Amino acid sequence: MANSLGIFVTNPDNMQHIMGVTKAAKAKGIKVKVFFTWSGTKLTQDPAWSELVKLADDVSICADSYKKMGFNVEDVPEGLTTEKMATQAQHGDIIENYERYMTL
Amino acid sequence: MKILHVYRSEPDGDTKKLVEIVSEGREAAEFKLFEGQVDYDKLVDMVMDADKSICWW
Repeated sequence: MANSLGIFVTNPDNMQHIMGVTKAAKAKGIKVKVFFTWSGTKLTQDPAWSELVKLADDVSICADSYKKMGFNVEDVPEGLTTEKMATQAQHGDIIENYERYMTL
Repeated sequence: MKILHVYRSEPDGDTKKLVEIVSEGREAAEFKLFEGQVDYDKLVDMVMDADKSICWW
């Protein structure tokens, strides 16, 4: 997909970078998908989470990682649907279909 | 091929060596996320301009 950026998030300390990159990319008309896995799912509790899900075109998380981080998968983070509580297939979607890729 | 190295922290000797190896024969650029005020606008431009980006820990 032309003019698109996928961001794969594993680190719970990088929310400022995720927000910075997403804001800058959206300002340039770039489609942004963000997928959170492992301890990166802790960022669902970050104060900037609600802004991110509104700003990015697509946000999803690894449900298994979310559970392993101690969260209840029935508690769907703000701005997500149960379909976005997903598997690593979302990571595969970024690798296969997005023009550019970053890990944070 | 243009390759972009994004450093999330100060690269140690091992990282520098790996960067050197994967950059061989390629046009390489770098961006430091750990240093000062981050220019995300510039970072996005560099990511979109590169053929491949590697985000180091």
